[in-house]
Amino acid sequence: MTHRTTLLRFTRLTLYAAIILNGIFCLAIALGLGVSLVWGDHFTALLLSPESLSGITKTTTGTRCLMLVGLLSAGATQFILHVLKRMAEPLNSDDPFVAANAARLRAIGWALVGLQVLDFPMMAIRHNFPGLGNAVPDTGLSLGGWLAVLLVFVLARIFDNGTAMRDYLQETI
Amino acid sequence: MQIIVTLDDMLTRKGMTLTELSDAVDLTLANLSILKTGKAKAIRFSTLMAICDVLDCQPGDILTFSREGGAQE
Repeated sequence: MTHRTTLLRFTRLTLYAAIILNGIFCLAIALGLGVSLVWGDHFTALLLSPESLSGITKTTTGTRCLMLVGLLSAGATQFILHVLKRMAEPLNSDDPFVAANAARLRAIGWALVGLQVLDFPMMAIRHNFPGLGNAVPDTGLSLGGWLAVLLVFVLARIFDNGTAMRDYLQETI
Repeated sequence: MQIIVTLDDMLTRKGMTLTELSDAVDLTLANLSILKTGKAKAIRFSTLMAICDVLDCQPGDILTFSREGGAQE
């Protein structure tokens, strides 16, 4: 039980740190997008290497698209981290088979679907805005990512059944 | 349809309190109250056996099936 408590405490600390770091990342992208909308090509010129500056207007558009997709991804990640933090809280971790945790897992599942779907605009950005170079992550269809989505939805169903069984057992004398 | 628990009647007949039964069958008072008030969804055979042993009765003496009343699940 001590090992489990230590593991839970470490998990919570890791989640807190991830939420803070991802939050800063979200803020940075949002600020960058805002500045790009105001400064346009000047801001793009600051971000990219001199070789990438031909066709800068198109590159600016690509940068904004990249930031928008990045913001959506970071936002979905922030949501997942917050939900995980709620699940790892002491009250919830002592008795995980509650209806709320099944709902939280489903919410994480949908957020993961969103993250996987965002791979498509990212691939489109990489294809249509070559001037962005390595600024665009080299994403592609991820079998592992889609398997994770399936796994989370299956787990949510298991939690649903586990909650129903637990509730039934509580009323069994 | 419902199962009516007539534990109160049996306790009165045997001159026993719920607390005494709780101590004798090693069940919490809260659980016995849930059973007594008909809020239990299920009862284990081991629990039923322990109660019948202490009260010296048959399961039918404390459980009655009725076609009337009760909430369906």
